[in-house]
Amino acid sequence: MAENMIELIDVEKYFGGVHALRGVSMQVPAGQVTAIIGDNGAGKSTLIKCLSGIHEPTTGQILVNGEPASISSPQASRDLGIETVYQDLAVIDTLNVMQNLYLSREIRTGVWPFRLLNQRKMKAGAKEMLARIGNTTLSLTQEVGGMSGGQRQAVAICRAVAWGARTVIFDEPTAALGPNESAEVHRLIASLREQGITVILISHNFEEVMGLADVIWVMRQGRAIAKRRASETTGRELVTLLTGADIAAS
Amino acid sequence: MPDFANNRVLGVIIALVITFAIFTALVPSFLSIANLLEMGVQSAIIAIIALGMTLVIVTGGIDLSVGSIVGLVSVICAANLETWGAVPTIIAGILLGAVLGFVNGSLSAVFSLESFVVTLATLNVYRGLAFLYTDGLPIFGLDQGFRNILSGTVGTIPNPIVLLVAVTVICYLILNRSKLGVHLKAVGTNADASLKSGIAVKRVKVSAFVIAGGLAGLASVLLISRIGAAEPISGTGYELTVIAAVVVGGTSLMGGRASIVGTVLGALLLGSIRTGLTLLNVNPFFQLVITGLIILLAVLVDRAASRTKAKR
Repeated sequence: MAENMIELIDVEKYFGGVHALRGVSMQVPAGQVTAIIGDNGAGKSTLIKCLSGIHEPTTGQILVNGEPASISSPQASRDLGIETVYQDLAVIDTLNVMQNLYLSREIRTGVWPFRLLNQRKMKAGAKEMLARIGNTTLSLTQEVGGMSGGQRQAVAICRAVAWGARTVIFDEPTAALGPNESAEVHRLIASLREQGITVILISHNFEEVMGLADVIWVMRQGRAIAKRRASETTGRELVTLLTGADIAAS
Repeated sequence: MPDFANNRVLGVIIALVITFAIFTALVPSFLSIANLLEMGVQSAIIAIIALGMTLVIVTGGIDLSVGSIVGLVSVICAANLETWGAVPTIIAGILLGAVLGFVNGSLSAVFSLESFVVTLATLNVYRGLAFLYTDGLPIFGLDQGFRNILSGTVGTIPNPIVLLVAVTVICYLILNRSKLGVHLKAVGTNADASLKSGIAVKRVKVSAFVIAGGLAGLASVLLISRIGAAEPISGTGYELTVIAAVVVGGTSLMGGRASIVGTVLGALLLGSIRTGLTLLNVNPFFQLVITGLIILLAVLVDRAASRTKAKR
């Protein structure tokens, strides 16, 4: 395994005239938690979307596990072992827990064109997935639309980690959650790290970042401007980097 | 979701029972086997198109061109019946409809256009092509062998009803037991989240239009076999009757939720009301008013149901 699970080399992204990423170079070490912080509009979301196959970089290179990778679709991203838990969760409200966990990975039986869903196998598999993240309270047949924010989050995270992902990206995972539910998510991220999974964490919450991350990247105005080890920095320094205030002056 | 759909289906069943009770009280022959079968046959064409429409509507789209597809497929099949033969004509009708549906879906997907606008355009294009194809003239005297295949009976059950049951089962399996069905609902609920989840959103949308077109094609050959002729104006206004059947059956125009059984019952409800009013010699203009009121009622019931659901 390469030292860096993901490496970005001079990645640029234009949306028409908008220069969203201005030559971002970044390393995401394997098996660690890498946090990306930055103000709104700093380019965090665009960067994440380049990794999860929603956008393609205009120029620049992305290496996954040391190999140059072309991430042209969400499926391509998944095929590279990258799963993303989006801020809006990307769960489908009118489908139940099991259908969401297996969305676009449905198990089927029969011969084309008579291939039908194998509900029995998916039910058993979904139960196992939930157990693996330590959640056995969710009902598989419950519609996701009627569930609480924390429960929806559990479904989204469960789906992300259940498919043998080597890298899991969390986009503001606790932004919409209460303290108890946030603690649950933090516990989950820590347990992913213990399992040797590489985690990328986008967050506004400094406490969360300092508590969970090994490495912190600071983005500003479409650039990755600084890299710090969490053990060697302070919240105060991060704020300074984030806002662009002169360190020497403070 | 299943309980919601079932509640809604129950509502349509109750409406059907009430309708049948009223008409039977007023016209005893309403409940005769002959009349029931006739209503089934009459409703079958609308119901088959409505089943395809349901699969489009569940994705959050709509197909306004189904009536024009019926017109175009009807005249092409009728004109070529002699050279193609009966069975190939039936197959060609389905395929032709599917191709026209593919055009609808592709235009909408490739150019990211609302299907409402795209099919409003093809509604005109297909109808125009139907007129051009026959110079505006009807085609009469269709081969009796062909007509017997589609308008015959299995035992005492007319073939259109047998076909309707088969199509209903297939559509039910597609929506509720297949991967495509899950994806249709997902796309209709949240296209963005579906894309992020790895669903080929555009392909799923096009698939719905292809199925809807194919079923409109099947309905076309049923129609021409029934009346023994084809006209370029065949199927005019079907889109509205079909959408009414889908809505009355409890499928949300917002997408994401649909009931196959509800659609068939919706078509039967509208069909039986039309037949009953005709038996009672009610002015056809008044029939339109009643149909409109029923659609309004169905939508209001829907909203009341989703409000109570939200409160729960």
